[in-house]
Amino acid sequence: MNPSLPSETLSISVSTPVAFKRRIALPHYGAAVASIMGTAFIRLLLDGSLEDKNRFIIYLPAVLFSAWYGGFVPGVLAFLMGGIAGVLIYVSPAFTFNWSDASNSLGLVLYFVAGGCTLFWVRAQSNFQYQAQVKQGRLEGEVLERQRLADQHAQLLVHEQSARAEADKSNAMKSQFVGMVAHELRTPLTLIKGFASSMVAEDVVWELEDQHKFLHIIDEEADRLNELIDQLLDLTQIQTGKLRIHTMWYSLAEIFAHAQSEMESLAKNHHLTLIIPQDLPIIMTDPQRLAQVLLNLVGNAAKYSPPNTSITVTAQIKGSEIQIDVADEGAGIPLQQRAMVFEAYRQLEDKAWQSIKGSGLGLAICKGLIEAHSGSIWIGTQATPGTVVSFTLPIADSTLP
Amino acid sequence: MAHILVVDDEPHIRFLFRKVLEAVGHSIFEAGNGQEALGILATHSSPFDLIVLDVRMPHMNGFELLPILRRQTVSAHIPVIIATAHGDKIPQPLEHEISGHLFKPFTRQKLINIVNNALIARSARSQS
Repeated sequence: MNPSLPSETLSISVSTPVAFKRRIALPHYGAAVASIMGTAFIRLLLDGSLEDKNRFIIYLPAVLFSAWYGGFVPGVLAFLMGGIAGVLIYVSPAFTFNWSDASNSLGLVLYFVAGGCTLFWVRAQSNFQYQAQVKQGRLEGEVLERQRLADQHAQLLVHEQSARAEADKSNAMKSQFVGMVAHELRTPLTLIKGFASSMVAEDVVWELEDQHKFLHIIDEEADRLNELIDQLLDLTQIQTGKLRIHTMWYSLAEIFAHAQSEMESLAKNHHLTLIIPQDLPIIMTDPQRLAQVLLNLVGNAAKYSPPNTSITVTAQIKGSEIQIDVADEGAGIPLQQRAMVFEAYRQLEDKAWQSIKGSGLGLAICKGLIEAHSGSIWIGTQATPGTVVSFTLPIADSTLP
Repeated sequence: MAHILVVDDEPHIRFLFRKVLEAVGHSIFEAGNGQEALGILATHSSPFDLIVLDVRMPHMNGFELLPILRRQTVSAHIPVIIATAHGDKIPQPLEHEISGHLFKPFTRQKLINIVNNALIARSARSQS
């Protein structure tokens, strides 16, 4: 289980408040100019008498329109244009800027007052709307932000709950595992303690043959304890991703030759056959660890199959890999448990597996070691009854000396 | 001298029981699992005086075997010593069925004492 949550759920970004702008664009100015020019044009078409100082007021609708459509600034533009057009057209002589006459015009004064009031009102109104918009936007932003935070909290809660469930399960498995390991450690310890305390007892005299046997068992069980501790350390390293293998260019045939006598002693009650081609390439491997895997698999095969049956170890080149199969004629492993046997914790869930002698860590360690070699390991299928454990080692880059 | 049946899946542990208990005069019979124990109990000519039962065994553990032993007339009244480790919880209904509790690892003396205590308790009960 990966205890860290996806990072995006943890980074809480605060969205910036939405920026509001009064939109004043070219069409608004265009409308202002057009409305004033249109008014002047219509006025000229309809009425020939140009000199009428009191008719400025006819530009007021155009100003109102511009302010309504375009806002304050186009309104001001229309207002000024209307004023100028008025002075140019209505104050005689026409089409001259006769300001001294215009200033006396009541129409112009009315125009200024009405236009000014209109613009002032438009300005105030648009300000008010702007403020309201900002306020609403801020509220909407806040609501969205709160919604987002609530979603985020819910998501974190779900993550937290599933992580906790995962941790609970993992803890339960670990305590089961610790219980099993304690039992496994206790058996050799019981034998060491029992036979040693028997030998030091002064109220009993043991025959020499018994003494030898006791010492032999003590010696064996001390090895078993040590092996179990090594396995535990290996497994811990595999599970924390700290397993180091020391690879070198090595001949696979040589590894088999070195391990052969030990394999034979593990399978002394079985018929062990090695089918190893002599032309196997040298590969990049940790020879000790690879031998450990081979011995573990042969040891398993011997443990879980009846005496006097065959155990066959086969090596062959398959494409860019070397595949090694260790096959026995035992009871075999049910299909649905084949992946499980490589998991140190999970294989304990099944009661049938508790019948198996040994710590049950061997295959989990083999998997870790083979994967450290960039290979893979699996329980294969075969026509004959029994179990075949296969693993591969890459040779793609290892054909060079 | 007592007839003692040792039920344990580890041959070396059975060997330890045999050696230690034979040296103090008992005669030992071995069973590697529950089924084997039931078979020996069914066919053995004279009744056993004591059964030493390992808790952790494959297929049928000690706590599963004990109720079966109690149901069978041949073994219903034989005292049972449970060999267990700290941390193994004894199921409540089985507690009063147990005449002795042997914690692993144990010394030779501890084993002899627990076996003797169980045998003394048994003879005291049969006399009363």
